[in-house]
Amino acid sequence: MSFPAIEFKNVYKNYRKHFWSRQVAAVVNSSFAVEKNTVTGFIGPNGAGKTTSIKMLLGLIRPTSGTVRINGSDPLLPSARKGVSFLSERPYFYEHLSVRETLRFAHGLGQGYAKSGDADIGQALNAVELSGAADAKVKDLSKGMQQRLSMAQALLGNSDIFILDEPMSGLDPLGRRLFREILLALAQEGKTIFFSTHILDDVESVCSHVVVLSKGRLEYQGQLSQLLSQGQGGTDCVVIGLGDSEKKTLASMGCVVTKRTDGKDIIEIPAGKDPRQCQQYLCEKGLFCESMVKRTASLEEIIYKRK
Amino acid sequence: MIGYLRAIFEIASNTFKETVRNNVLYLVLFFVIALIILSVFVADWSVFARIQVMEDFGLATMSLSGLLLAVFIGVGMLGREISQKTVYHVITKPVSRTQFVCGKFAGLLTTLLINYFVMSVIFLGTLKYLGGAIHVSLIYAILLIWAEMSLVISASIFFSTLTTPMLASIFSLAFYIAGHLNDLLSIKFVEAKGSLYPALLKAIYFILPNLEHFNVRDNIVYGITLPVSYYSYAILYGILYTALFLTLSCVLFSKKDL
Repeated sequence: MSFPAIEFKNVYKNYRKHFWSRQVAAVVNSSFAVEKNTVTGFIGPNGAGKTTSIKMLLGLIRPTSGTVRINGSDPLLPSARKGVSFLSERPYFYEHLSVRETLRFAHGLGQGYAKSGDADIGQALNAVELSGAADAKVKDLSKGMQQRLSMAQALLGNSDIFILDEPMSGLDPLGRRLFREILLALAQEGKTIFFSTHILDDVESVCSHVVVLSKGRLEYQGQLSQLLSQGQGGTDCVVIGLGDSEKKTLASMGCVVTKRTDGKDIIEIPAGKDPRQCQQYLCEKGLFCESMVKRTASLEEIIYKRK
Repeated sequence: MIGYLRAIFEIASNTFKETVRNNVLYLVLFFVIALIILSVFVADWSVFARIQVMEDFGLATMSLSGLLLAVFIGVGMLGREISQKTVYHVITKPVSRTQFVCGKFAGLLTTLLINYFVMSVIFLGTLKYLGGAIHVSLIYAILLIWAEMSLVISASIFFSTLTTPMLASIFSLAFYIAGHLNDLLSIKFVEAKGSLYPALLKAIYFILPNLEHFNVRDNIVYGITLPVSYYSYAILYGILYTALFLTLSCVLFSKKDL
C-alpha cells in the first residue's frame, strides 16, 4: 500500500507553559502530506509551529487531536522511527563524549543499520569534513562543528527520511555550501527530505516542494515552482527619451512609467499584458528599448505578500 | 529482542561513561574512604569495641554515600537529559521511552555497584587489617545496602520524571528519611484515634517502602545472626519495589511531552 512519507491530518497542538497558565495553540488544524522522494522546505516565521510539528513527527510530543503519520505509522511507536534521521535546530549532545563516541552511540541506537559501525562512522565524518576532529570532545567543538556532527549522525544508517530542523543555522558560508551539497546528493539518491528553515535561499536552491505555516496554520502546500509562478509580476522595460505623449499612451495601455536616477525611464508592463505590444509601439515611435527583464518575485516576497 | 536489549545496553553504557566521568562520583568515593579510615580513630573514643564501631560506621557511611550518589547523579541525570534536550539524541531513534528509562537505571546501578565494590573492599580490608573477622553476615549487610540503593535510585528516577531536578532531589532525600522512619508509622496508627487518620497512616505505611528492612547494622554490631531467608526476603522486597518504581517511571515518562 502506498502512503506518503509524512502526513498530518487535522492536527491541533495546544500547550501551557505552566500548570496555571492558559493554553496556547501552537498548531491549528494542520493537514498536509509529504510524498516520498521529495525535498520539502518547511517554512514560516518564528512561532509558526514548525518545531512543534517536527516534534510531533518524531514522537517527542503528542498532538492534542488529529493524526500524525511517518512512513504510514504512528511516530509514538519506536518502529516508526526506523529509517528516519533527525537533525535538531541546536545540537544536543552528551558533552562527556568525543565525536567518535557520539557517533558510535547513535549508531548503536539505530537498529537494523546495514553497515558496520566504524565504516559508517568514517564515511559520515568524511561527508561533513570532520574526520580531523574525530577524537575531540563534543564540548570543545564550535557551534558550526557541532552542527556538522549533527549532520554526521543523521547520515548514519542510510535512512530513507531526513527530518532536519534549521540545519543551516550556526554554519559559516562554507558549511552552508557543504550542507546544500549533502542535501542535493541525498535528493539524487531518492531520499525524502523535510527541512525547516528561515533561509529561503536554501529552499529555492534545494527544494522541490514547500509547506508554509503561519501562526500554527497551514498557509500553502505544494510544488515550489507553482508558488514561485505566483510571483510572475510582468516585465520591466528600460527606455531613453520618453516624451509626455508616449507616457500617456503607455498609461492608457496599463503600463506604469517611472523615472530612474540616471534619467532613464522604466516602463512596468503588468502581468498578463503582452510585452510585444508595448515594444511595437516604442518601435513605431522610434524609441530604443535598452533592456527588457521579466519581473519575478523571490520566495520571500511571495510569502510576505500572501500574509 | 536482541535489538531491544542492545539499545538498553547502549544507553546504560553511555550513562555509565557519563557517571564515571563525573567528578561527584570521585568526591563521594573519597569522602567515604576518608570516613572509613576516620572511623578507626573514632572507634578509640567509643565505649564499644573498635571493630563494632567500625562495622556500624562503615555500613552507615556506605548507605549514606549511595543516597548522595542517587540524589546528585541519579536525579540530575534524567532531569538534565530533559532540560538540556540530550534525550532527543536517543528518543528520535527507534528507541522506546521504556528502553531509555531502563538503560538509565542500569547504567546508574552499574556505576553504583562498582563504587560499592571499591568501598566494600576498602571497608573489609581495613577491618581485616585491624584484626576484625569478616563474617558472612557482613557481606549480606552490604548486599542489603546494594538492594536499598537500587530502590532509592529507582525512586529518584521516578521523582525526576514527575518534577524538576531540584524538587526531585528534595523528594528523594525525604523518601530516604521517611522510608527509614516508616516503622514509627506502625506504632502511630495503632495509637491513633478516629477512623480517617489511622487509615491514612496505615495507607502510607503500606505504600511507602520500609527501608529499615535493609538496615541490619545493630544485628551485626551485637553479633545477632539473622536467618538467610531474612536477607533473601529483604532483597526480594527491594527488587519488587524497584520494579514498581521503574514501571511507574516508564509510564509517566512515556506520557511526557519532551
